[in-house]
Amino acid sequence: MFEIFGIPSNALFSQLLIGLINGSFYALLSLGLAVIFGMLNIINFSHGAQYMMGAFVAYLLLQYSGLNYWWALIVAPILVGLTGVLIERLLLQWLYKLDHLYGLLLTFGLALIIEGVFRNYFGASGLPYQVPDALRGGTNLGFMFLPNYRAWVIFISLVVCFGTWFVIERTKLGSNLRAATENPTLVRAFGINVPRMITLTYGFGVALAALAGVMAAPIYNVSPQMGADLIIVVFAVVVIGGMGSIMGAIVTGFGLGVVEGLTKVFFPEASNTVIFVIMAIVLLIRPAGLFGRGT
Amino acid sequence: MGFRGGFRLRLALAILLFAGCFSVPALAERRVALVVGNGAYKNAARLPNPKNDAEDVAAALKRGGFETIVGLDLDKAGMDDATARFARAAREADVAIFYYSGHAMQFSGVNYLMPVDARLTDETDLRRMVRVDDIVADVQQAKNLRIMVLDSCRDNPLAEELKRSIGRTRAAAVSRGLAKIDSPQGMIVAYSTQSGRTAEDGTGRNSPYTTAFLKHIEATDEIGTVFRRVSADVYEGTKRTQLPELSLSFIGEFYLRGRPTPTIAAPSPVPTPVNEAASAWSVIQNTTSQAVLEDFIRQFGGTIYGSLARARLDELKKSLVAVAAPVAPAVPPQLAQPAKSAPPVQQAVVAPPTRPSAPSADAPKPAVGVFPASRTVKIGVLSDMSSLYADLGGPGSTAAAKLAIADFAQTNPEIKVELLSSDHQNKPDIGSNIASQWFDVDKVDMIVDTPNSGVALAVSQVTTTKNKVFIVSGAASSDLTGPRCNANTVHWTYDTWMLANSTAKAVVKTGGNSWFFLTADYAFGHALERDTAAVVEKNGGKVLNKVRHPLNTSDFSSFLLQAQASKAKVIGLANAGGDTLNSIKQAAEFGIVKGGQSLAGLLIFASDVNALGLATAQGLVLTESWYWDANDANRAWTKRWQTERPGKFPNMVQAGVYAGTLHYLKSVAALMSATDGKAVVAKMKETPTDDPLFGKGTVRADGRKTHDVFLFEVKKPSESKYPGDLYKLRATIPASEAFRPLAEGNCPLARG
Repeated sequence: MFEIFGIPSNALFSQLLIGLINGSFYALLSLGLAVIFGMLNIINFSHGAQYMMGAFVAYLLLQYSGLNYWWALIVAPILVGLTGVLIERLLLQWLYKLDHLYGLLLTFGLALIIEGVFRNYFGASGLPYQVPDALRGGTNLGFMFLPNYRAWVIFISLVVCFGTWFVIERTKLGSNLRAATENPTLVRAFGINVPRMITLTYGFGVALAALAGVMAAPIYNVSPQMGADLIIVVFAVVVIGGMGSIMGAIVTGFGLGVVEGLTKVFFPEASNTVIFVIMAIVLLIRPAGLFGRGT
Repeated sequence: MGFRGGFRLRLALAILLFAGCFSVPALAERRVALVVGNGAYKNAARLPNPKNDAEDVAAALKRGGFETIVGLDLDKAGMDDATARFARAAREADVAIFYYSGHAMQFSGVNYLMPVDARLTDETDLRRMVRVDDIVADVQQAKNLRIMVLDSCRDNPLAEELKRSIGRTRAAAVSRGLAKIDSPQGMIVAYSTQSGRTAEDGTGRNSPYTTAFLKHIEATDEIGTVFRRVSADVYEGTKRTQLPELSLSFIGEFYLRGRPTPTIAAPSPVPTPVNEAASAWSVIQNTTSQAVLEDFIRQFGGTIYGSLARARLDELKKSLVAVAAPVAPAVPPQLAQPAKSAPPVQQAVVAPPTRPSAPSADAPKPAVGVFPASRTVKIGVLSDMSSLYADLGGPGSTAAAKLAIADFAQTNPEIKVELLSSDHQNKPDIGSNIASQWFDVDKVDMIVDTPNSGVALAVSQVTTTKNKVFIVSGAASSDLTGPRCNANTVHWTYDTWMLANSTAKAVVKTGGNSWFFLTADYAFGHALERDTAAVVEKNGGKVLNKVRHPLNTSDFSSFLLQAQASKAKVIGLANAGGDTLNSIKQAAEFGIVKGGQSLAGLLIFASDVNALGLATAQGLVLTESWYWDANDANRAWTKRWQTERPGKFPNMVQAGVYAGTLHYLKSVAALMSATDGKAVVAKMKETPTDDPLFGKGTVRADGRKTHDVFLFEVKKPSESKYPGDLYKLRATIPASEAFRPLAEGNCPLARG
């Protein structure tokens, strides 16, 4: 066993892996945010609340209709995505022409309302949710004990992130979408239903948040404020990556997870702060973010 | 409102009082009732109905204007307590009713009522029962009408046992029915069956007798007629097997409803000046207002009461010269309330006539013995109503405080208590602002609950500046009774020292002698870690290492890996709330417990265990000072609490709010004043505490309430039989060991 900076290599490797796992949550969440901001120009502050809804829906499905984790992975994002569609149709669509600030305030208000409603019905202390049987236990990697569920989280996160990136950057649908953001009037002239596409995009972004929520339910405490705890970090990730940049969100998500993981070994007290320090530095040097297009 | 406006206001109120007195003379009458229903017998046949009977009868009597003391499933101590309260109330009452439903028996011509814990092996055990004669004596204190209703002589196997044990020769003396009570004058005694026979418990909600009683008691007829009709109904209803017995021994007519004036033995219903003067005098005799007395003399100067009033007036004038015009609550209590809200029972007679009725010249405090009527006692529940700790205190604490007030009102109906509640949002500045506003503007006398140590310390500071009372149940920091203690704060339920001490000691003793701390990186976490580490080392364990994590971390895997690598036997979680939950949940995931290490949660509550689920939390060892399922009293209280919070279970913090509020109110009642916070807290410390939830205990000089605490282990999912069934008891730590010794807290109050 050798040491790096006074830390046993085993510990270092395991912390890197742990960082990667946390990074995959950041990536999933910031991906949704980036998609919504990139396509709708809305800063979706209710993202954390929608992530929380995903976890709660998973709990409710298990409790009241007996649908287990695997069903929840599919059903919860669809249900929460539908509420997103509703929100877009009823509220957000009137704000596109206005300043970003209005969308931000609206979604922030929504987040507070949603959290309040859940707290009212389910209480503040949280609800139990177990790791699905098939993913119980773990593998001894030699340098650390890797719970199977964590491995699963990395896997899903990578698949979803890559899939999303591929759809938006490499397919016809994606190019239509990007075109519609650039110049909606022109895209409409080609016979494409732009408002519907925008609605579905918002729904998809929200569904991504809900998916992250379902993934988080077995390992984090399912409580109404779970989203609020995470959302600030995720916003920092998006800002560092460059607002609206899909690749930026994914790469910085994973990257910052690793940085945070290392901080927890060297200087645990600073682990909550390190991301914001990086954010400040990045904004000073590259105001548009690491992968930003520099508008 | 104060009385600075003085004389004119008092005069107006005095006139109002007199107007009120004479137009509705019935209001001058006070009615009290004691209703007891014993069904949950431990050593005799259980009866399903008495509880319902008592509840329904109590409700009916309350509607009829009775101040009702209700006792359900009382043990001997409970019955003694209830009858004592009743005796006190009956002393000043005009009408008194005692109603009993449950097992009873007679032995050698003496009647006994059976408490639920009664056990009968021989004659000596009769002392464990309540003698009916004693209650007859209590009831008789009422001035006008006394009613005893005994719905009992039900099937009673204990009497058979007694009969066997004392042998045949004296068997005749034991009988299953009640012996006849000699009813003295002005008394109604109603038995549900004839002397010496048994009565049915009934198959419906109520016994046949109570069913009939409820049907007729609220009728507007004369009371004798009412009871005769009850008897007739029972006789018919039981297919003529059970004939109630009735003994009426009073002259005149009495109406519970309808005719307003009790005219027992009154030759003429027309109020004579003397009668009028008598009833008016009974209302004002404790006044300290000269205006009221002068007005009285003007009207009734010719009667004997007129002379009394003159004497009072002279006495008063003397004392006013001696005492520099105290701001005295000058008028009897009910004047503070608008006339329309006045209850059917006149509360003007609250001041017991036996107490000194006026301030004597050497007593500077005015109106000793009369609760300052100008203001009610106001209690504020200051808690986290909407976020992290809302399940710990929050609305559940408000519900608990309501129960305390309701229980207090049964014994002290003359003191009006008002409840406020507010959300401090876990911010010390908001908390202390609310506290200041409550004390200054809303005239709140006491603040209770207040989870979050930061807020609690701030509020404690405000409370002592304003000289009010602060009863902490939700906050954990032992500093509240340590260096930052003060004479206005009582810390009721638990604190960090007690949790760390009992949990850590137990864990070390069962072999967990090497520790790794996972500590929340702020004052509370550091304190908890420090206190626990001290206990660990004192008991022969050692602390290998620690890691400090930021508050509200969601992912602990990195810290848990460090803990795992340390090879410590125990991972001590010196954190709280969501941080603790996440640590435990993820520790399970990383196989830490399976790997042989164990977790010690130092600040975990029942609500947290629920949030984790038993599958994750099983085996966890934790400390609480109260658990809803620990005994019958707790379960009964939980049931009452759940009427307001259906589907939820109360925790120790909420139980502490109840018990603390109750003890506070008792002390206020004893002092007859809530104004001086330090005096009230001193009284709280001086009086031993006794409540149904925490049992007997004391409040120490440093403000620390001490009681037994319990070490629980979280059950396996398979052991949990019903919702809320979470813990099994591992150990009980006696009050003397559970809390930090007085001398070690560095509380300035404890030094002197």
